[in-house]
Amino acid sequence: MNALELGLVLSISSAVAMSAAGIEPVAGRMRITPAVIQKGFFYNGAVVKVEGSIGNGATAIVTVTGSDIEERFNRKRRVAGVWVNASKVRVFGAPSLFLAFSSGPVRNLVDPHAVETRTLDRLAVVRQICIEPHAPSDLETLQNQFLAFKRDSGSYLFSESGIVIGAPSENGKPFSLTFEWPRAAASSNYEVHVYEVEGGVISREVEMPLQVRRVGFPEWIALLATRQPALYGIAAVLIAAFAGLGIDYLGTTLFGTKRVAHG
Amino acid sequence: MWIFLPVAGISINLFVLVGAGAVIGFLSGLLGVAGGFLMTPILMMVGIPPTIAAATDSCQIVAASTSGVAAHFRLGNVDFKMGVTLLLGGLTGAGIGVQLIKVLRVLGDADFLITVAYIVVLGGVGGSMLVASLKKLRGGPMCSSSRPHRATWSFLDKLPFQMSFERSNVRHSALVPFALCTIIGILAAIMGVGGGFMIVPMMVYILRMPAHVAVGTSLFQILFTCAGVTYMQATTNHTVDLVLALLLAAGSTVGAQIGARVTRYLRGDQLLIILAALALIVAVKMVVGILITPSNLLSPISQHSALWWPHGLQELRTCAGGAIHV
Repeated sequence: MNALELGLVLSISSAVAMSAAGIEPVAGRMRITPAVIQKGFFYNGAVVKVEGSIGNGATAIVTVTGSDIEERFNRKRRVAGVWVNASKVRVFGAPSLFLAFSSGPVRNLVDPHAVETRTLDRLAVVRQICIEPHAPSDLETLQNQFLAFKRDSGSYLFSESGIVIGAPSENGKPFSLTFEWPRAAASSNYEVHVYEVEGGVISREVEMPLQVRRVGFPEWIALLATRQPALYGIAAVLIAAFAGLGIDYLGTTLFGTKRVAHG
Repeated sequence: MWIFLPVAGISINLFVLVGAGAVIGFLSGLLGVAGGFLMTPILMMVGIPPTIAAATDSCQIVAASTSGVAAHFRLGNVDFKMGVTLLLGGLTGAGIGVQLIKVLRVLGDADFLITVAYIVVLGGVGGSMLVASLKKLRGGPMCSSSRPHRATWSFLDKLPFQMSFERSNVRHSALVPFALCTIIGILAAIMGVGGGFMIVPMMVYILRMPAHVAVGTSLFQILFTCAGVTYMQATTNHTVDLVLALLLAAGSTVGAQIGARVTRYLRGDQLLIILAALALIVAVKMVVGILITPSNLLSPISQHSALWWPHGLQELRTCAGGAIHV
């Protein structure tokens, strides 16, 4: 079987699988722009647009999720009147990034079971967050604290606005969502889910990939730092030292070398 | 103009970054504070992750220290013999300090004790400097030398391994600077801070070195400790962002130029008062920080700097008196 035949088989297989799960392939109905965010040396953030069409009686919910990660935190407690880092906790099961956009409170649009199984709102995300170790009475507090931390860093966003839905037509209603990509989001693969909701039920779900990649000089430097750390370390020291000498030469040329009197 | 930092993985406004470096450089030029307890918080304020800020700071100091050493060398302010002795002491102290931190962590009290050490040392040094400087100010402009009478430290002359440090015009047992810098190295490793506000007063008041030679010699020592830290951070943690370091260095060197020029208009005791006030402000801020309820009970773990013994060494900075270029 050559590459073309293999590709055809895989495409047909995925289409069949997705249809069986009630999920239609992208196939021109939904689009994300850009599909790849490139972080070059002068990267200044990106604006992402998700657009497509939904049924005339439907509304849309859009989520963007990153892969699950594990993070470690210091947990503060009050000891003898002062707040100290009393212990360490491990947080896992939560996505690295979660952005949710809807045209209203999600639990008013979709039945709660679907909200939980597809993780569509804040409460559903909180229930995914696992924290070890913890006292049973502390879990909810720690989960909310973790959520607050992620929201403050821009990694989590729950917005009940932003989705613009157009007028009904023969081909359904157009919708679009434009949002600013979080600057602090790491280079990785993300998933954009568009849920078409009608009558409180998710009638259609579309999944689209969104890649964020370092390119050019930043990618070269980052690869050097991780794959050749010894060389990178030596180069960093030498470049910094020569830069210092260069700045010294420049300063001497511009300002001379008069001594400053010390008190 | 925005720049994407390849290792930090974020975009940042170029002018904000250079400006942050310039602020630290200004304080360095004005007060000789290398900014150990200022640079990292300022970088974090502009969005740099803490681990990247701490590691990259070392690299930036290599650039700034090289510039400073070159200038001080031309002025005859670098005592290489003393610098090497101090460096060896600092290495030893940092190694001990890191092991001490490991023991404290096992006991479970490391973070609290480190915070208390920070507050005590910053508050103590800052407070005593402020008192001494205020006394001098009240004493009038014709201040006598701040170097203590020779008799105060005469017992040091009886120690073995006596050496002449020609550039500093002092004679000491090699054990003295070695031991003193070992103690500072331990404190610096435990506290994970500069020690700059400790080492130059130590050189001036105990080793009786001229202040400008103390500054230049300390810069020489810092250059090598920070070079070692940069290499270790790059190879162990991959957290050195060279682009960030060079942009900070560009700003800090310009700021140091301006700060050094401003010192013309201030007397030494006035400068010390500003430095003392800065140290006290940081100490008070830390006290307030542990007393008020934090906005979030969770904070990301950036491994304490002292656990990486070269990082503790990076903090053996100087109160660089600021005479880099004028």
